[in-house]
Amino acid sequence: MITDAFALVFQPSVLLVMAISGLYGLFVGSIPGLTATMAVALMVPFTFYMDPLPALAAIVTMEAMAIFAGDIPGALVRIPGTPSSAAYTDDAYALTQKGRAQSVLGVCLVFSVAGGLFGSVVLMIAAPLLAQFALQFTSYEYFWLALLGLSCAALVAKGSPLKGAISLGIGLFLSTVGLDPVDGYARFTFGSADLVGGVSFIPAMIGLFGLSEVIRNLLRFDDNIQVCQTEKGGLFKDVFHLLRRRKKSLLRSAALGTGIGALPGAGADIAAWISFGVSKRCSDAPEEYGRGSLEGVSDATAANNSAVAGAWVPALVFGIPGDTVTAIAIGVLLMKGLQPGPAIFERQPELLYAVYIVFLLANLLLLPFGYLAILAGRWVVMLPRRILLPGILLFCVVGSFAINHSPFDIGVMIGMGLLGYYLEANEVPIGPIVLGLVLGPMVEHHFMNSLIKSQGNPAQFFTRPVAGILGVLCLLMWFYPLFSFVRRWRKK
Amino acid sequence: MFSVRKAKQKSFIGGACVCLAVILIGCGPGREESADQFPSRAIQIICPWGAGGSTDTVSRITAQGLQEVLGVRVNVINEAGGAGVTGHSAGARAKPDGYTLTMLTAEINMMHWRGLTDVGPTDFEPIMIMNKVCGSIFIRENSPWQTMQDLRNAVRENPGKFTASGTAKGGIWHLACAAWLKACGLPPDALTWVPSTGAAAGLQQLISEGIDVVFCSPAEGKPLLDAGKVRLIAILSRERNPMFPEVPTCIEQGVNVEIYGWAGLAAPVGTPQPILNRLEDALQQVAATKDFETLMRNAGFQVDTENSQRFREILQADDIQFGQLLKDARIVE
Amino acid sequence: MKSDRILGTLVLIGGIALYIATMDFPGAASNRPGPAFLPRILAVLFMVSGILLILHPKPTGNEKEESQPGNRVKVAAMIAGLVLYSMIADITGFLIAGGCLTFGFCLLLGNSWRVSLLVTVVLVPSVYTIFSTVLGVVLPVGWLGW
Repeated sequence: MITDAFALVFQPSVLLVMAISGLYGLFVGSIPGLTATMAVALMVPFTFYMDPLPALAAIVTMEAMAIFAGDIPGALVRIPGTPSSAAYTDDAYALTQKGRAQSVLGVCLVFSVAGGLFGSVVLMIAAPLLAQFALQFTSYEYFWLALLGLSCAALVAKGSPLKGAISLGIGLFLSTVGLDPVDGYARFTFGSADLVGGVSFIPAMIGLFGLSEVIRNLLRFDDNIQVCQTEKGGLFKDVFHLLRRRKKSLLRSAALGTGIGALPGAGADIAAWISFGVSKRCSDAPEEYGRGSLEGVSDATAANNSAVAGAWVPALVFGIPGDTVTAIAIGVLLMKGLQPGPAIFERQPELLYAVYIVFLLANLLLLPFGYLAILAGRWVVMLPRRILLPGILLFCVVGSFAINHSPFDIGVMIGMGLLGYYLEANEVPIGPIVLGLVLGPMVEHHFMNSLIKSQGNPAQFFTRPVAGILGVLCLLMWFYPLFSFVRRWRKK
Repeated sequence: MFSVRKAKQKSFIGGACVCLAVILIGCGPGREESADQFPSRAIQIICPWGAGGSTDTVSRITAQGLQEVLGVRVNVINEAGGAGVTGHSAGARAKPDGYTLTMLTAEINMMHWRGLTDVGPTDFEPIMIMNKVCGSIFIRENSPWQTMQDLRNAVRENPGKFTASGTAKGGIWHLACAAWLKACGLPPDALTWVPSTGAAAGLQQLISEGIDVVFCSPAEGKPLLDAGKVRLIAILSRERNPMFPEVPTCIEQGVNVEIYGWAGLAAPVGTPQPILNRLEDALQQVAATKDFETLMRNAGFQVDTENSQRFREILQADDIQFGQLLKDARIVE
Repeated sequence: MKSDRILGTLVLIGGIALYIATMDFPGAASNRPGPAFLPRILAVLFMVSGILLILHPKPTGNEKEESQPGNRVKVAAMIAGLVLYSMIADITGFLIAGGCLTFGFCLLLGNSWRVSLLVTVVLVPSVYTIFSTVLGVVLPVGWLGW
């Protein structure tokens, strides 16, 4: 059976499809505003003419490459290529400005590959088990999970916690614009059809990170400085050292990423945030986080790539999509007349094994492909700033337009750019805004749904076993600082 | 031009601008094209729902077929958000030249009743319905109920105790729930509606025992049905579904209710009739191909198309039915 | 210190405005809070943190970044260009609007007009082509017809 699977994968046509879709994924992922989901959606018409395995191989390869490629513009010009890179964009970019672009991208690449491989192995050996666990999650558990994610903002934020809270509040507020998740009441829309759909996440992200950086560059404009200095020494200078030193944290991050990815509705972006937050809490040098921590970058980038494989767990086991990409993949499988779920395990195990092999292969392919992408990206930062900045500006505009084809989104991008600039000039971190935007709808939706289900009885938030554990964890996280403060105050 | 000295640069920029302006004005206005040239460039289809959903799938299959028939690129754009309001509004506001089409869904007949937007069915020229899906009722595999009657009796005895989901508040499957309750002679709040982001999220909550009943299309629940995690107890259409011939309809079980969601291509109002005709012809050709049928059937949709005339009638009939249901279910005042 | 006070005031005003904006939201249902629930929590958060910021402004750690007044004008010009772009792109098409934006911004950064023209002519059409052919994103088509 395994040999059948190998025979399925190692055909010239399948390998060719993987190579092409890999290049395409790298390309799409590295263009700000174009997400992995979009890349896969664009692939769908081509899969009509493919056999099931090449179609799946294309999707898997593309997604793995795109999620890594999102790190490249994040590190080089501070615009995350995909939302999954947002959590550590500031750190990666800070390192680039210190002249360490090469090492941070090398670390991103190797840790992405490691995370992806870990996720693939988990998918291979523990998919049914993990899927059972993931399906235990109801709105109570999701509420606590989202709240835990928000608590990470407190961890992630550099500088004053007060300003971090303000920033998180702004993000949560922006997420409430549009229809409320329960009653469908239009909040803060001022009668605009565009605002009914809410503040689009991607234009907001491009504005907050990218445009605000363009503004800052323009204010300090001095043509003699390049955006960043390129360093001597190889891409993988820091990698081996870091790999050896951080074996445990790599495992932890990849496990977190796979687990979160396996939860339907929580994907690579949330995995990266939570992993980054946990990494900071466990770190010996938490003060570096947000200012250029290679450790933080390595943990978060491993988590988002492992989440890619995680999302396939519920998809393959039960036919429930773990994220939008797997939703599309299930659609493609169905169109091929294949029903994801237990049937696939029984009737076509060789296809399933072939998918596993594809996962391993895609992540291994990422190593050479990603290396080439980094080399290609290097010339971008060699350009003088007065040529580079117009290019960045144009991509900010086009990238915010691309997701919804809406001129309104360009307005969102401009507004967020100004806001981001003003806030950072006042030392308010912008990471928590992005996190608030990601998790705001999830927190509110699941909180309200839980109350509807329990008919207003809050006890349910703790009586379910998983919810109880998450809840206690969350409360500990929130009240631990208070507790330690009281203890210190008493000692005085 | 490139041999100019620096001192004269400024005037040359001016000159270049004038030249550019002349060129632009020259080819700017007056490029009206006639219907027989249509289409001469890429067409876009706005899908008001996210990538990976069922409307998205229908849009992409249709786009692919249309691309082959018309010989130009046909792109699908997902303008999701605001319970479909964003995409439908953008589609209605688009230039009525046939190059921006919208994959309308049944929600177009609900959002204006709910006061979310002024955009309604009259803002579009219907072209063709690509598929219709009926509602159905799913329960958990270990649920004590065996038939739809069991469910009805349980709800009647414990009004407000059980919860149902399948889509956001006021979405098509919420209406299906409301219509079913009405047909059973039960009050609209006898089942508590728990909003979810879609059928998949609703089904997931169903098997993790968060809720008791899910209303959605039969195809959406098929993977979990095959996995033995859920049971399908009734279909809300006139006839049995060929994919699930053993499942009885509600009408057979004595509850007179049928409700359909649909997805159909439409152009903004004001699009010239010849272009609409051209598009409808093309869509007819698409729907007749074997590829289209296979892809749609495999994706879980029955090919069930309606021409523009029927589409218009369905829009009008739905508008009245849904408006009434929304009021009965007290979703709108 | 001063800038923290300004920020605090803005946040406080924002919180109050937010609270006022939620006043006409529909009320709570029998078993759960209404749509105003989260916005009001945030409004209170903004008010409290605004006041705290006004009362305890922190001296900024690093020196204010050097910025010449001339550069502020440039930022304003860039924003104006972006706004203009978003208004005219649907009418003129991406090539013209994006071209003007890129050309103008290049000049603003002190490039000679030849370099600016070169950058514009190379960058804008290639972005258009890549997006419309490879990426399936059709940027606004306008007067030029592609």
